[in-house]
Formats: sequence, C-alpha cells, structure tokens
Amino acid sequence: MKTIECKILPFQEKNIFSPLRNKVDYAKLLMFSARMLLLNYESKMSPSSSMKLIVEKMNRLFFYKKGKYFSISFPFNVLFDGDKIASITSYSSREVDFKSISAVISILDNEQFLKNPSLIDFYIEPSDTDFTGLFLLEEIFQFEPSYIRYDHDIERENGKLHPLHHLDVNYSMYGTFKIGLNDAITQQYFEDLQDINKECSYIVD
Amino acid sequence: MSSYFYLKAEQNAQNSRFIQDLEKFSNDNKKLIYVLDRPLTDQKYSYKYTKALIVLSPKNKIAIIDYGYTNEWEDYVEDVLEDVGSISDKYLYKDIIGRPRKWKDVLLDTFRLDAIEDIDDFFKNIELVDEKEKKKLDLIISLFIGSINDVERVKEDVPTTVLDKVKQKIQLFDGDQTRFIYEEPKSKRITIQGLSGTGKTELLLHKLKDLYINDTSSVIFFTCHNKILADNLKKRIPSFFNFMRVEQQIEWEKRLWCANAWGSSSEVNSGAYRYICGFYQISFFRFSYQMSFSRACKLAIDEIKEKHSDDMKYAFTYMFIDESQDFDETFFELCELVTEKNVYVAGDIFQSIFDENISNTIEPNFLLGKCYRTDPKTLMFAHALGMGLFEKNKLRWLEEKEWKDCGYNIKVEHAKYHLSREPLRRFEDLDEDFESIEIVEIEQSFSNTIIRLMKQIIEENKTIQPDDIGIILLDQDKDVYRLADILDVKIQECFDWEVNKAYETKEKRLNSVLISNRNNVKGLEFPFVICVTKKIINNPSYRNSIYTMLTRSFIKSFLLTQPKSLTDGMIDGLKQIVKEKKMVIQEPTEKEKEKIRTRFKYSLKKLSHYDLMQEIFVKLNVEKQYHDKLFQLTQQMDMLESGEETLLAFIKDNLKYIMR
Repeated sequence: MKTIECKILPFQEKNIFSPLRNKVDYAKLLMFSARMLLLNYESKMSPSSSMKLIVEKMNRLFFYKKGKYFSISFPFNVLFDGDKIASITSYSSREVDFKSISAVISILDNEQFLKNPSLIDFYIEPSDTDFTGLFLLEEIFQFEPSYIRYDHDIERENGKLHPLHHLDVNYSMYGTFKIGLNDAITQQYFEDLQDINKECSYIVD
Repeated sequence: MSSYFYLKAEQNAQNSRFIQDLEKFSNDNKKLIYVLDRPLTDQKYSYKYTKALIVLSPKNKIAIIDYGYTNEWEDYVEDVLEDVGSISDKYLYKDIIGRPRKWKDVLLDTFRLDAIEDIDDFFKNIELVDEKEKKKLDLIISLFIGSINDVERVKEDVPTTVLDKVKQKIQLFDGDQTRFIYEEPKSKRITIQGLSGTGKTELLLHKLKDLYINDTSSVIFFTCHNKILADNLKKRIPSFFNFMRVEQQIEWEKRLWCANAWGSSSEVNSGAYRYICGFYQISFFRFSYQMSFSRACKLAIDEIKEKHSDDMKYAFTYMFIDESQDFDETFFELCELVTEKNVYVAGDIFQSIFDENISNTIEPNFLLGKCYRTDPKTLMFAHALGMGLFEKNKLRWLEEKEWKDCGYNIKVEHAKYHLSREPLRRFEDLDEDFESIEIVEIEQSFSNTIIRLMKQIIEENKTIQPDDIGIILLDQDKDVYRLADILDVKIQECFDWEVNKAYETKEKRLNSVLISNRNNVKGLEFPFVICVTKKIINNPSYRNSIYTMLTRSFIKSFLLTQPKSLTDGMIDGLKQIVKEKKMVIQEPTEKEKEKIRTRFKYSLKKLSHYDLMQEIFVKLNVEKQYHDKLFQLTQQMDMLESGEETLLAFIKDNLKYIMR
C-alpha cells in the first residue's frame, strides 16, 4: 500500500472544502488535489487540514478537517519514485501534469462552459482551447466520483433523520443518502471502512 | 504635422504667422501645443466671434488670443469659460478644479495678437510653477480636447511616489491622436497603425462613442479576431460609455455589436462574419483546415455580390476592426462592402518584429509613432533584444523608413545607427536615469528570486496593489506551469495575495497578482513586470515574445534569467540605453543583410505550424482526408513548435498507420 499525505494550507481550503454538488465540482477537486500531490510543497505554515492519497486495490483521496472527513475516487495511475510521485496518468495514459491540469481548469472556469457544459461545443468552435485539457476532462467525466463523507453536525441534528454522527453517500440531491453512526469515528476507521482489503463493516438496525 | 502640435482653428492671413511660430516652437522644444477656437469635447460648442485662438500647452496658462479687437471678444471669453465649466461638471471634475471664475485668475491669460512679439517670451510669461496648479491645468486641457481622465484615478493631490506619479498622470491625446478623433474621414477605410501600446483601442472607443451619440440612427459593429479580446471589449464599451457620461442606452444587437470576427452557426450575433451571412442570407462556413477565414470572406463577398447586385442594402453604418494585423485584405473588403460609411481599422505596425514588410506599401491614414505604455528605454532594449541588435549575427534589421515608422529618431554616422526615442509626458515626473529595465540573474531558484523581487517592489512602493505586478513566463516547456503553481502557493504564503493564472482564467482580475505564459497577456499592462526565461534562444517567435512581454510595464520590467544567459553586448547595450538614452548599432554590411534576409525568410516558415504542415502534406502527397488527424496527432505530441525536419519524419512514420 502506498500513501502520500499533504498539508492543506489555509488559502488552499476554499478549493478543497467547497461543497461538492456535481461532476464539475468533482473534476475541479480532482485537479486541485493532483496539483497539490505533484507540487509536494513544504510549507512552514502549520495547517489544520490535510489530504491523503491511498493507492492499493482502491485508489482514493481522503480529506480531513475538524469534524469533517470526506473521500473521493482518484481514478488515475500513480507512478511512484520512492516515496515521491513521479507521474500521474489517466487510464488511457494521458498525462496529468501541471500543464494539463491548468488546461482542464481553464475549461471548467470558462464562462461559456458554465452556461452550457458541453465539451462538444468546445471541440467544434474555433478557439484557443488546449485540446489536451478537453480530452482529459472528457475522461474524467466518465469516472465514478465515489463520494463519501463523514459529518458531525450539531446544528442540524434531528433524531434518526439527521443523526449527530453520520455518513453521507453520494452528493447529488437525487442520489444522496445518510447512514447513521452511533458514535464519532476516527480517520483510521473512515479509511478502513473503504479499504476493500480490510474486513467489511456491517449495518444492522 | 507632428504629434506635438494640433490645430483646429481657421488659419488666415492675420493669424497664420503666429500659428506657424507656435508649431515651430512646439517641434523645436518637443512641447505639446493645441491651438483651438472652441472646446472639442462633445462637438456642440460654437461661437459667434471667430477671431480668437485658444492656445493650450501643459505647464503653461491657457492663453486666449484676440485678433478681431472688438467688444464681442469679452463675451467670447466668458462663453468659452462657461462651456468648459459645464464640461467639467459633466465629467465630475468640478470638485477638483473648482469653478471657472475661481481658476481663471490663476490659470488663464488673455492677449492681443498684435501685442505678442516673441514666442519664447510669450511662453515664459504664461509659465506655471506650482505643481498643484499644473495638475489642474492638465485636467482643464483634457476637458478642452476630450481626453477625459478618470477622476477616481488621477485624484486631487499631487502624488509623491513613483508608482502614484505614473498611475495618476493625466493623459492627454497627442496631436496625431486628436486628429484621428476630430478629423473628417477622407476615405471609406480609415487605417490607424502603431506599435502596441500606442493607444489604438482607446482611440477606437473614443471614435465609437462619438459616432454612436452624434449619428443616432447609425448601426455599428466592433470586431476583432480573437474571442477573448472581443469579450473583453464588449465589457469595456459600457464602462467606457458610462465614464464618458454617454446618456443614451447602448442598444446591444440593435445598434451596436461587439463580437469576434467569425462567430458560430448557432448564434447569429456571435460574430461579424456570422451576422453578415445572416443579414444577406448567404452560406456560413465554419472553421476547418480546408476553410480559412480569408476563404470564407472571399466566398461571402462573391455570394453577396451575386445575390444582391441590384438591391444592395448595408448591414452597418460603421465598422470598427481592432488588431487588424490578425486579418488579411479579404475581411476588410467584405467589411467595406457591407458598410455604408466608414470602416475604421486599427492594428499593430507589426504583429511580430519578424513580419516581412513593416512599412506597408499602402500608407496608413494615421501612424502613431509614440508608444505611451512603456518607458522609451524599456522599449529600445526590448526591440534590441528581440531583433538581436546587440549580437554578432543580428536576427532582424530595419531600413531607415521602418525605423522611423516605429517611432525612432535616426542619425547615421560612419555606418553606425544612433537610434533614440522621444521622451514621454507620462514619465516626465520620474528621474531621467530611472532604471526602467533591469536584468536579474537568479540566485537559488526562479521562484525564490521572484519572491525576493516582489518583496523589493513592495518595499519601494508602499501603495502597491497585487494587480500592479505581472509575472510573465516566456519559455514554452512544461516547467513554466510547475513554476507558476509553485509561485501561486508561495505568493499566497508570503504576501497573502491572491494569484490569477491568466492562462486558466483568461482575464485580468482585480486584487490579484497575474501570472501568465506568453499567450494570455494581449492588451494588458502593469506598473511592474517580471519576465522569466531560462535563456535567450534564437527562435523568432520567442524573440518576438520577449520584445512584447518586456514592453508590458509602465514603470519597470525585470528580465529574470539564469546566470550568464545574456551576452556582454546585451548588458553594455542596456547600460548605454539607460545612460545615454540611445543605442548605437553597427549597420550590417550588404552581405550580412542578405544573410539576415535569408535566415529570416527561412525562419518565417517556422512561424506557423499550420503552413509548415501544409507544405509537408504537399511534399508527401498526403490526401486531404488525413490532414485533420495528422494535425491532431502533432498537437497531442506537443509538436506545435517542432521544425520541418522533425515533423516530416513524424508524418512519414505515422502515415502508414493512418492510411489503412
């Protein structure tokens, strides 16, 4: 098993911990995370949140902030050089590097794309779009985000409908659901829960 | 007429001697002088009394000169003052300059023409000393000529720091610019050319505003090639109109359009060509490797002529084309065909310093020699570095007329060219020896040196804002993206400043430091620019970029590079520019010039990946159906900058797999 941990600096939190509501948000988060992993920046700041990549049979990113853990799939091949990341490529071997990450972000932030998120329009209209970004983004949109979040929410606690400790599975309005937890969980528990090489957890009401 | 002198008053037997003297004085002393008979702003003022001249010149009192010698003269002066007062009201200047009855005692003098004997004495007489009064005067001149400055920007106080002095400098149109705005067009197509930074777009906007409000039934299309630039312009027009106190609403897509030239089939207002196709109900073509824009325009011209030979209506009253160097003649022809009155065309004198014919065979109607953005020292060094003037083998040589068209003063002595540029008003408050360009060698790493430079800039300029600094990465390898991302983190960590990577956002953002590669800085300017390159290479498109990027600053450019990247010749050349305000370049011999031309022609081919590929397709007899695929392949393989040999080999190798 390979794991890599990164600090999330205070000014990076807005990119990482904004609510995830759709695939565009997922694609962005994936790109920001990949960039942080590649950058591997040593800061003197002591931040309160962190990110962890676990590559095993599963390929997942975990994000930790006080009272809030969540995890998404990281559907890329990661090549290690010792403890460092040498390269990240997509499953169809497109390079995920600083350049292609920026190319993807520039599409996701494009006004026209925000109005009408169609990659085809980008492809057929004459513009200065970087095609590497387009192809990579197309691939990302085909992935399963596999979103799961642990929430500890005193304010909105409401008996068994909104338990104090719970897991939120999926992010869309139409697909999300909660699984109640009897108690607070640790980061380790959260990771083990999703580790297919570890024993499963059971729910029996 | 020079850019220092502007005349808009009747020249007659009585005043012509005086006017000639003024013009000579202005050219001899490089002093901006306007001679008017009324305020030009808003074009609505007229006076019964015609035997008077208003002489305006920065740092001197306004002089109103009478040569009719009747009682009506006094009314004339009162009327002019009243009108300038109302203009100052309209543009919110009143709070700063006060009412005319207050400022006229300090800032205005009246003369009888027959009492003026000597021009030098005349100007000595009206000279102003107080800085605050000089500033007020500049503002009043700007009201006379319509060169309106944002009161918010120029502020009331006299600035003390270098940064504020340049930022708050009151900008006045020079003679050429004023002529462009107020002169009646003499031909259907009006072309205006200059180096980048000569204020072309700003002038187009002034003209647009003028036509929009004075010709109220006019229909106008404003266009350029690039979509981002067009989007930008579309945002700029309303704010410009607001700022110029235009009371009429902008009727978008009824009276005024602003979009890029091509457009898309789904939306009729998305481009000039697209709209024209819709208006005349002719076929619209979209881009493909077989359909260039030029070809699409040619087809449109033919079809319009064929279908509408007897009932030709005009789509527009006026058209404005910015960045005209991105188009070829067919688009202008199309525009002229569909436009009733005038087509205004503004463009860089060269898109690249490696363009073949800098001085066109067709003279532009207006040639703007002065680059107002950059300090002349920066511009000279940037040109020299771009053209390789300080190197043994120069990459580019201009002929005498071309140097002049680029705004240079030339003196040739013993085959040595002494090249210099006129000083600019914008920088007149700075120390003459101010180092507007500095070469910096990196210490440990590029990112750390940039942070150190930023600390230094912030230290020296207390009022600096994040968006006052632009960091431009010149190289094209992938490392620049890594560097940008490292800087992103470090800048936020060290200064708590937001960072805007322009190649992601494609726009300038307030309150953030801009980092860009060489492709996304069109039209941008910053007080401070840090240009970063590993080493100076010979590739023409690189050399052109280094020239354009270094000239993005209006206070100082830093050229950041690895140690020993610049030759001694370059460093000495820069020293001379800073010290003597000129460069002295040995003219190449005929043989050398021939060499430069050949190398240059060969390298020109390298400029366009598309053309290079087309040539190879012809050479290898590749059928059209495979072109697109091969283009995509080279794109994916990051081969857009590869040379002919590499591409030829690549296509040869891959062709057999594609042609199954």
